[in-house]
Amino acid sequence: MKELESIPKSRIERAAHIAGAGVKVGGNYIKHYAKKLVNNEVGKEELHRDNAGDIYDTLSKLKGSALKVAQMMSMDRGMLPQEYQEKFQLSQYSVPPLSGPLVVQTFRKSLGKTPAELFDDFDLKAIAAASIGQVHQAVLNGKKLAVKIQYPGVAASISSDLRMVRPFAVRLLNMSKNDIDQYFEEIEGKLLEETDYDLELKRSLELSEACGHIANLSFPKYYPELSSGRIITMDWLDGLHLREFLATNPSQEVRNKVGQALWDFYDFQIHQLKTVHADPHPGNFLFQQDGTVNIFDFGCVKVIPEKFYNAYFKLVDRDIYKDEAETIRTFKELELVHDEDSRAELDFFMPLFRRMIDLLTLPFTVPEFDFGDEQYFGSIYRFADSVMEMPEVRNSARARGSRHSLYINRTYYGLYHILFELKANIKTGFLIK
Amino acid sequence: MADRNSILEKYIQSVLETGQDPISVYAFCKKHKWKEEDFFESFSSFDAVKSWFWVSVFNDARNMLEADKTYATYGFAEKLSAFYFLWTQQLLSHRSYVLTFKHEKMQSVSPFNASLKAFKKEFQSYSKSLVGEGVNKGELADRKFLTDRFSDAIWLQTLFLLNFWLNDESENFEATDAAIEKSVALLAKILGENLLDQAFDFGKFLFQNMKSRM
Repeated sequence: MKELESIPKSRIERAAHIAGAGVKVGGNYIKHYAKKLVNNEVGKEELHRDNAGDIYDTLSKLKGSALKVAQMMSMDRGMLPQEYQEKFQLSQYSVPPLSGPLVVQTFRKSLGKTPAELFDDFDLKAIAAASIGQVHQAVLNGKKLAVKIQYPGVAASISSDLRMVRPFAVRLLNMSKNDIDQYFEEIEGKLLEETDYDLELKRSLELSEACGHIANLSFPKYYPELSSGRIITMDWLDGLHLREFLATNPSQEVRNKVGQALWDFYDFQIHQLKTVHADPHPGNFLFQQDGTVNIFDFGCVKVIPEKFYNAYFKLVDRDIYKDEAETIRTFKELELVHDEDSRAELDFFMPLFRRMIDLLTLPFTVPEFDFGDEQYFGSIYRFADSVMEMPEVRNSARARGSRHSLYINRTYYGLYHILFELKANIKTGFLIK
Repeated sequence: MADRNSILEKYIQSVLETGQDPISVYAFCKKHKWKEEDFFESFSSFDAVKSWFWVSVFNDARNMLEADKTYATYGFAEKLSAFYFLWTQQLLSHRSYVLTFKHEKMQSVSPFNASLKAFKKEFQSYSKSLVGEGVNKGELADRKFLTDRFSDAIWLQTLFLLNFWLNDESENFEATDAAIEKSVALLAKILGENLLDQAFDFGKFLFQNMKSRM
C-alpha cells in the first residue's frame, strides 16, 4: 500500500480537491452530450462511470468524513446507479495509511507511552484503513491484537467537509435541498459521534455483551486500558471479507448460517435493544468457513426513538391500509406526508410510499425469505430509480421521511445487500409472531 | 545544589513570575541560598542560561529518540518527523516560557534570536548526520555543494514549526502534528531526486552538445 505523504486538511486545500471533481464532472457531462450529438446510442452508463471515477478519486484523497459520505452513498445501493456503486464500494476497503512517527505521536499524546512500550510487538505499517482511522496489528502476551487509530483533526474538519460535499449529494442523489439539510444534520451528528472513540468503546462493550447469546456470532474482547479518545485496542479477528469469503464458494448451508446470524443480530438489536449497529457495510464483518461471523466497529450506533419505532413497524401489518385515516396518521408520524400537503400531493405520495414500504418490508411478512431472489432486488432498484426520475419527488417543497429513517433504511439496505450477495435463505418471520 | 538543571528551573520560574531577568546573579543566588561561584561554574550569564534551555530540550528529545528501537529503522523523513513530534512534545511543558521568546511586533520567534545560536549549532550537526544518512541510502539527491546547505533548509523548517506551534490554537495541538507530517513530506520531496535534477542534467547535456557542434 502506498503511504499517504500528506493529509489534505486545510479547508482551502480540501475545497480545491472538491472543486477539482466538480470541474471534471462538468467535463464528463460535456463529453456525454457531445458524444450524444454525434451518436444517439451513447448510454448514460459511460457518463456515470466517468463521474463515479472522478468523484471517488477526489473523495478518497480527502479521507475523513468525505470518505464516510462516499461509503454511505455506496451503502444505499438503491439510491445510486450501478456505475457509482461499484466505484464507491472500493472506498469500503482500502485507502493509504499515515506515517509511522505520527502513529507513535498519537500513542504518546493519548496514552503517554509509545506502542513499543505498551506492546510486545507493534507493526507500524497499517494493515487496513478504517474511514477515519487505520488499523495496526500488535501482539501482547502472545495474543494478537487489532489497534484502531484515528487521524488527527478529523472531528475539526467534519463540518466544513460536509458543507462542501453537500452540492455533490444534491446532484448525485437527486435530493431536494430540504432533504439534504435535514439529513446532513443527522449525518454530521453521527460522524462526530464516530470520532469519539471513548463513546465507541463504551458502546462496543455494551452491545457485544447484550448480543453475546446469538448463535454463530462472535465479538472481540476490548481493552479499555490500551484505549483512549484516539485509540481502540481489541482482539485480532480472523476471517474473510465478504468478497473474499464468496470467492471461496461457501456451500448454501454455510451461506444460510452466516446470513441467519446477521439477520438475528439486527433483529435483536432493532426489536429488543432499540439500539442498532447502523453501519452494516461489508468491511465491518469477517466471515469464517464454519459459518460464524465476527462483528466489530461499533462507531455508528443509532438509538431508535420509541415513537418512530412504533410508526415504522406498524406498516408491516398490511391491515393498516384498510383504515385510511390511520394510514395517513402513521405516514405523518414518519414525516412522509405533512399537514400542509394538498389532497393532490397526498394522492401522489401515499401510494408511492406504500409501494416502497411494501417492497422493503416484504421479508418481514413471510416466515422464510430467499434473499437470493434477483427479481425482488431488481424491483427494489427499479422502483428507486423510477422514484428519482419523478419531478414531483425531486421538487418536493418538503422533506419526505423522518431523519431517523435515514439510518434505519441504511441499516436495512446494508443488511439486505449483504444477504443478497450471500444468496442466503433466512427465517425472517420474527415480527408476525 | 546549584547544578545546571536546578539553576535553569529556578531561572525560568523567576522570569515567568516577574516577566524579566533577575536583577543580578547575586540577588538570584541569594534568594535560592546558593553561592555566586556555583552559578558561574555552570553559566557565565543569564543569557547563557537562556541558550542552555534550548540546547537541553534538544538533547532530551534526541536522547529519547535514540533510546527508541524503532527510531533506528526509520528513513530520513520519518526520523525528522519523529524528532519534531518529540521536540514539540518536550517544549509543551515549557510553553509559557517559550512564549517569552516571541518577538513583540512579529508575533514569532526571530531567526536572529541570539538564544537559539547554540541550539542551532547542535541541531545542524544532527540534521547533517540525517542528511548524510539519507544521501547514502539514496533517499536524498546528492547535489554537490548544495547538499551542505540542506541543513540550513531544515533549520528554517524547524523555526517555521516552532512558530506554527506557538500560534497553534487547535485542540491538543493537532494542527501542529499535521503541519509536521506535511512539511516534512514536502521537504523530503524537494531534497529527494526530482524534476530539478533532471532539468539540470538535461541542460548540461544540451550545453555540452551545442558546444561540440559549434
